[in-house]
Amino acid sequence: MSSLLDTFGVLSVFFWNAPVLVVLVLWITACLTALLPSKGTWLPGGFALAAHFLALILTGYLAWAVLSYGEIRYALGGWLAPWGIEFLVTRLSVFMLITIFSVSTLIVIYSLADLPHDIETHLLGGYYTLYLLLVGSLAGLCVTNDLFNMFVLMEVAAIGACGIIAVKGGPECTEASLKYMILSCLGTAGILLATALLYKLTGHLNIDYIAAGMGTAVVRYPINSMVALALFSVGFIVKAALFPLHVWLPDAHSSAPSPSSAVLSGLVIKVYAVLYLRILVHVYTPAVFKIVPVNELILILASISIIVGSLYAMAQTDIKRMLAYSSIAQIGYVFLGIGLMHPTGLTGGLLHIFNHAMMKSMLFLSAGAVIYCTGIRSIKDMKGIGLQMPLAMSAFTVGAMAMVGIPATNGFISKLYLAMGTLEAGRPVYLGVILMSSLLNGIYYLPIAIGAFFGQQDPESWPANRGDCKRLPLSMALPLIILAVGCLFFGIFPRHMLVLIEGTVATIFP
Amino acid sequence: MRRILTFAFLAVIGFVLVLTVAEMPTYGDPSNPVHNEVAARYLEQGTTETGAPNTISAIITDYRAFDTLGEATVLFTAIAAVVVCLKSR
Amino acid sequence: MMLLLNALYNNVFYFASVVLFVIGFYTMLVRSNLIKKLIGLNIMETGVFLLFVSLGYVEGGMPPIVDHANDVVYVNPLPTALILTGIVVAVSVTAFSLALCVKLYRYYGTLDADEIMQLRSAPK
Repeated sequence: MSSLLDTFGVLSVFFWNAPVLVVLVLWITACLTALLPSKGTWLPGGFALAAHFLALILTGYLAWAVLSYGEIRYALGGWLAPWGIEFLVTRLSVFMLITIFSVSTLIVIYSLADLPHDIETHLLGGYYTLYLLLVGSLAGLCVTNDLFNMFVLMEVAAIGACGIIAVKGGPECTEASLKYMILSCLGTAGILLATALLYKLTGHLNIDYIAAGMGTAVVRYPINSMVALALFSVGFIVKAALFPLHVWLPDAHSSAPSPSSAVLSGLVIKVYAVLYLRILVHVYTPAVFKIVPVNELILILASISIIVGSLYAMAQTDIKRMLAYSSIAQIGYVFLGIGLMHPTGLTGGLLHIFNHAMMKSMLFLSAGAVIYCTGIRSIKDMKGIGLQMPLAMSAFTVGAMAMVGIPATNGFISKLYLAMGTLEAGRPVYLGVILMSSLLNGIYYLPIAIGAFFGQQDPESWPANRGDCKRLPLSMALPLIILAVGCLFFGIFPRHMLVLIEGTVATIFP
Repeated sequence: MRRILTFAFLAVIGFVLVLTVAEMPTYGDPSNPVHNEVAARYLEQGTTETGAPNTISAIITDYRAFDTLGEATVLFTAIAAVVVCLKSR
Repeated sequence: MMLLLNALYNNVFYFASVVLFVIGFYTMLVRSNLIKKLIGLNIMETGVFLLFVSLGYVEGGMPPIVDHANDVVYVNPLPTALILTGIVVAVSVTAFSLALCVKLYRYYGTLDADEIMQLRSAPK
């Protein structure tokens, strides 16, 4: 009996501290993974998977608690808000946590079989260490309510993200990683300077307290608060890879191992977009943008990003490079939703975070599956490959359809909301941007999917190793199946995710 | 040409930042927003609440200990990344 | 103009930090040597740290090692504590970037960004 009570006590402590444990579970497992002997191939991956399952349980608990009792404030170390660090779990955080952990768990399952083929065996422990640190700090970024804490977590995420690119070795990866590191540090330096300015103006680091002090600060120190806003914008735009500052993304995402590309494109850049949204709407309220039209600038950059990203993607011959450029276009949609400053548009933009995380990871993973089995990276060699790899190419086809926004896929829902948002906000120009980009997406995605199944294999470009096409392991097939089914499921029943998003949007635009 | 553009860009940034500095609350003024109830509590009750006469240690090891954990994690991440990077091909 | 100079004179530490920030940014933009770029990044971060630390100063303030016996003004301890963390973060980032530089030097035999670009675009 007493042991039962003890178990119950431990469980209640576990759930009571869920907001911080969601980060710590991954960080602690990362430390343990680093201690593992470098011989085994499956042990580090097993650790990572176990940590992800624990984090999923905690996320489920947080989702239940937030939906039933409203937002959770967690004071770290028991020191209340202006003195200590505070974690704030809102519907938006829960939405991001669900996105991060569901996609990341599938990526870990996939990488169990794919990674030993891509990187050296003795580096697997290091890879999963960095991966867990990265995902843990991403989760922390979604729940933290303290600007300086955000800076620290962003640096963990930056080093982790660059680490899982550099792990592959070779000149391209190293160079891409260094470029990413330098630009992302430039971004964080800007964000830290902006944090210093806001701290000077309000005397607080907690976002809620800064928001309370900003009302007077904007009036008393207009230049300072606007410079801080500009620095935040530049910093987050670098990190989220919006158009003029996207230069690091194509190299980084195309040269990395496939699971790293999936997590970087699917999750990392989205988190910074959400942080930027929080800064914009909580610290600087939408009222400020009536005087200083930052959101107009975001809209223009987002539109250029959408169009230019799609055009560059069309010109690529390497499949992963094409997917990387397509990410620039897709992050443009998220920023378009933020820039519209309108409930429906923002719903579409936020929903696109979840949808794009699913479809882009699926596309990167299916491209990775093709590379794993046949070693083909070039788009023109992929003709007729659907007959050899029906599953991977079916998943690719579903992803391609979702990217274009064909009805009954999840991409359609978010694009529909964005399109309705542009009309309701009275900006039909941006509807044109959305339609044009859907057309462009169709031009470069669908021929690959159609060619893979109905194209004539070209014997001239037939690589020698094509005959011995490896079988796709179950652990790589399973995530593809789940993601493909998910893309269709959330295309037909989008209600579940919309509940979380509409709650968020209702707090931003009351 | 590129050099001129770079200098023009830097001049604009420098000018804006100088204007920002000129507008800031005066250096060392006790009525600045920074010197508010947060700092006051650290100084007045820090010793009794944490047992450390050095308020800075009280903050980094108790009030904002999670930042310090994050700092240790950044160091750990950097070490792991350096090791992985140098050991790879 | 006089007013501006006067304000800058009063805020000379803030001014110095901004100057450091711009110098670091200049180094990052203009120099093509990767190590120099990293040094520029560090100068930039030092500028931000100087700004942060000087925020906490109060006229006539003492270091915040509290002794309730005598009645003195202490400086604000929070920015100092934050920057202790910030410095370690900057060091970690620099360490990792330098490790990447070491590897790049092994591959290309140079650390000049322009030369590396030329080597990459050259036919293999």
